Amino acid sequence: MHTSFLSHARERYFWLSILLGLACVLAYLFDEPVEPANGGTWLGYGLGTIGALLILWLAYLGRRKRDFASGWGSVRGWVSAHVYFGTMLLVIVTLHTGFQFGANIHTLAYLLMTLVIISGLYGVFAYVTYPAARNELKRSQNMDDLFVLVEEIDAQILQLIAKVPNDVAGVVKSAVERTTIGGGSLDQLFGRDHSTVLIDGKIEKNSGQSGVLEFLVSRASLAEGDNHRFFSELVEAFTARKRTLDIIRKDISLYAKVKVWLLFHVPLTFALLAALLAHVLSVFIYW
Amino acid sequence: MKLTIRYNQAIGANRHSHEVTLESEKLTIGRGSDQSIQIPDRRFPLSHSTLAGHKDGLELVAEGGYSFLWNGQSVSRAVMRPGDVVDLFGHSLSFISSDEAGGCSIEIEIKENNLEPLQKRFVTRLSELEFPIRSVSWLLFLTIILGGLLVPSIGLFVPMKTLRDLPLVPDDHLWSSGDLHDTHAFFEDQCELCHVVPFTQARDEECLTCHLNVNHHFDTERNGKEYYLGESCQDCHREHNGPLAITRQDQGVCSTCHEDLEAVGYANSTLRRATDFMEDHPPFMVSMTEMKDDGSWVTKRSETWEEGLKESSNLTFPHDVHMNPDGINGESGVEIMECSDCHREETGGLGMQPITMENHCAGCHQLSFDVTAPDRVVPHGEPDELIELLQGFYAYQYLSGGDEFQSAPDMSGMQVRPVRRPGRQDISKMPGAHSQRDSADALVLAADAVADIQSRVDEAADNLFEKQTCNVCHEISRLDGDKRWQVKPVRLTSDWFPMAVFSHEAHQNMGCDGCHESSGSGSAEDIMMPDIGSCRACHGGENSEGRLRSTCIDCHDFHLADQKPMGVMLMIDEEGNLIDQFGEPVDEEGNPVDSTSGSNDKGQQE
Repeated sequence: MHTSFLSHARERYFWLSILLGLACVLAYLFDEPVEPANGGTWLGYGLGTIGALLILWLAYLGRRKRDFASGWGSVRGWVSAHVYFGTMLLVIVTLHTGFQFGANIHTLAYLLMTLVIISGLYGVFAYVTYPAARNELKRSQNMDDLFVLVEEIDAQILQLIAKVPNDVAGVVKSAVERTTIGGGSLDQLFGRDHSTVLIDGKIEKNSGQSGVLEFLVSRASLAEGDNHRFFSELVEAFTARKRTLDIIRKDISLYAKVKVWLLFHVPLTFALLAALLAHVLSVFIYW
Repeated sequence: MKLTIRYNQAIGANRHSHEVTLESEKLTIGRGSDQSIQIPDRRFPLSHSTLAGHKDGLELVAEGGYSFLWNGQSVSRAVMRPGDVVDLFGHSLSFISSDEAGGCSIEIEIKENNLEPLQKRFVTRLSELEFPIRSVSWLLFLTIILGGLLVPSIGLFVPMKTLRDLPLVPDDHLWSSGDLHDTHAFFEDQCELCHVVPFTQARDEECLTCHLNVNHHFDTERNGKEYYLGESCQDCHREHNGPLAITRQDQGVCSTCHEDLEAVGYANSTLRRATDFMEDHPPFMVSMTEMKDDGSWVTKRSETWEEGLKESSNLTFPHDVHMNPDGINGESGVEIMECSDCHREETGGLGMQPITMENHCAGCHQLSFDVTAPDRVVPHGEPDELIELLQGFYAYQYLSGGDEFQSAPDMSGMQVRPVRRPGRQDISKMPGAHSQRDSADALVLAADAVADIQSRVDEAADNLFEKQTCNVCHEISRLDGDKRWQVKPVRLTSDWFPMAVFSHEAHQNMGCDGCHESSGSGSAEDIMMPDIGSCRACHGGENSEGRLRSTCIDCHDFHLADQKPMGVMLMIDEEGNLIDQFGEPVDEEGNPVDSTSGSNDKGQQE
C-alpha cells in the first residue's frame, strides 16, 4: 500500500521533531538568562548550534536524493524527516534569535531560512494536493492520450472544412494552427491561453476557442440545410477540442504548481547557506 | 497593404494548400500564435521577421540577429520583387506577384517533416524552460559571501576607514547583532573600537579606555585584581541588547559571592550573607555619628533592633511637640508643622538637605537674652563670641543711658584720656586742659561702669545659656571658675544607610510616616529609621509574587566609591618613569611595579 512521506514509519519523524521542538520551547521558557534573551546566551548558542546543524543536514537532502546507491535509509524516510525537522527549524531558530531582529546579516539569514521553509511547506502542500487533483482531472488518461485526442479532433475538423465555404475553412484552419498550449513559466502556472484565430485578415484572440466558436455560431445562423449541419458538427468538434485543451492546460498548470517551488527552494537554500556562514563567522570574528 | 498568402503543406501522402488574405501595413513572421504569418515549426523563432510594403515590392527584415536566404544569398534585410524566393529555416517564401492597387500575393511552402506531433510543438513543462537554477543558486551564494563576509573581513587587514570610504561597501550595521545601548550608540558604526582581536570577546581594556574611573567592588590591594569571580566587564555588561539594557539586573550577580563570602575566600568580612531581598537578607544596620570622650566623632554601625539604641547627636529635639496635630506656637501664631518644613530632599532626590539652626529653627527659636529688650537677639555661634556681643550691647546701653542704666554717672567733670594724633597739638597742653587729678577720678568711674555692665552681661548670659534659649536645644555645661559655658557639639547623622542607595523622590507616593514614626517621639535620641520589614511591605526579591520585584542593584552599587579605579591612566613622572594617576609606579600595561626592586625606581631609592 502506498504511504505518503508524511506518514512514513508511522509518523516517526513528526513525533521526533515535536519532541525536539518541545524541548527547545521548554528550555527557552525556563531559561533565565542574565541579559535579554538573544542568540549570545548559552541557550542561544545551544539553539543556534542545533539550528545550524539542522540546516546543513536538511540541505544535504538535495545531495542524498541523487545518491541512489545509498543504503542509509530510504529517500522517502529522508523526505519525511526533512519536512518535519525543516518545519520545526522555524521554531528552534526563532527561539535562537530571542526575537531580536534588525537590518543585518543575521536577520538576513533568518529571513532566507523562513523563505526556504515557506517554499518547502508550499512544496509539501503541492505534493499532497496536486497529484491527486491531476488524477481526478484526467481520470485514466495520460497527457499523451489527451494530445492524441486533440490531434484526432483536429483531423476531423480538417475533414469538415472541405464542406464549408472557403473563408470559413480559412478561419477554422487558422484556429487549429494558432492554438497554443503551455508556454512560459507563468503561462504554464496559470494555464494561460494565447491562442488566436485569423478572421477577415485580422488576428483575433481565441482563448478557450471562444473566438472561433463565436464565429462559427454566428455563421451557422446564416447557413441552411446541410450547410447548417456541417456548422453544427464543427461547433461540436471545437467544443470537444476546447474541453480537451482545458484539461491539458489545467494539468500543465497543476504540474507546474507541483514543481515551481523548487525554483525558489533550491537557490534560496544556497543563499541561506551563505548567509549562515557569514552569520556564524561574523558573530565570532566580532565576538 | 493587402497580402494574399497561399500555404502549401504536405501531410503524409496528401498535399494540403489553403489561402488567407491579410490586410496590414506590417506583417510579422514567426512560430508564435500572435504572428501574422505563422510557421508551425518548433525550431522556428517565435518572432522572426517582418514583411512590409515597399515601392519596389515587399521588404523583409529579420529581427533579433536572425538572417535568411534571399535568392541563395544570406541577408537580414531584403526588398523582394516578384519571382524572388526566400528560405526561412527550410521553409520557402515565394513572392508571386503584385498588382497596381498594392495587393501582393506570396506562397509559403511548409516543409513536411518539420510538422511535429502536437504535444512536441509546445512547452508544457517548467523543466523544458531550463531555468538556470544552478547558476542562480551559486550567484546568490557568492553574492552573500562576498557582501556579507569577504568584504567586511578586509577590515581585519586594512584600516577600517580606508574600507569604509570605498564605494558600495556595506556599513558596520551589517554585522551588528543588535542595537547598542544608548550611551554607546554614538560609535555604533565603528565595530573595531570594542572588537579589537578577532575571535576574542570584547576585552576590558577597550571598556576601560573610556571608563577609566570606574571603581572596583573590592579592595584590590588586599584581594588582587582578579579576586572577583567574574572575569570581565562583559560578565555583567552585555551589549547589543537594545538601547536600554546593558547591565545585569539579576541578584545572581551578587549572590554568587554573597551567599557565602567565606567560601570565596573572604573569611574576614563583616558582611553577612544575602541572596534575596525577601527571603535571605540581613536586617538593616544604621550608621550613626557618635562623639567620643575626646570630642572626636566616629561613625558607629548598629543593628536597628538593638536594645536601647539611641542616636547621640547631643541635640534636644522632641518630634512630638513640634508635630503636635493641634499646632505649636510659631512666628505668626499657632502653626501646624509638616515634615517637609525641616526635611527636604536634595536635588536629584537621593539625600536630604542638611538641617541648620538658621534655616529651620531660627524662625521660631529667637536667640533673645533680655526680657526688657525682646527684639535683641544674638547670632547662633560660640559662647565666647556671644558673651563679647553681650558686653558690647550692654556697654552701649550704659553709655547711652538706656532704661537699664538710669543712674549713669555725670561725666561732665571727667577728664578725657590724653590722646595725641600725629601732626596735631597735644590737647592736654592746650589752654584749659584736664589735670592729672581728673584722670584718677575717671579711672574709678570706669571701673564702676565695667562692673555694672558685667553684672548685666552675666545676668543675660545666665538667661541665654542656662534658662531660656540655648539650653532648649543644647546640653550646656558651666566651666569651673570663670563664667564660661560649654555647649556640647551637635552633629546630626546625614546618611543612616550609607551602604544603600535610596531615593526619596522615587517614593513620593508614600507619606513620611509610612516609614518614619515621628508622632510619638519625645526625644531626639529616638531612631526613626525603618527596618527591613518596612521595605518588604512593598519590595520583594527577584522572584517574589505580589510584591515589587527588586534585585540587589536596585539599592546597592557594585562599583564602590571607596575602592580604586579599574582603569589605569599611564603617565610619566619628572624622572621619566611610568606612573598611574595616583603616582604609583606601573609597567606599560598599568600593572603595579614593586617599588623596592626593578630599574624604574632607582631614582626614588637614592
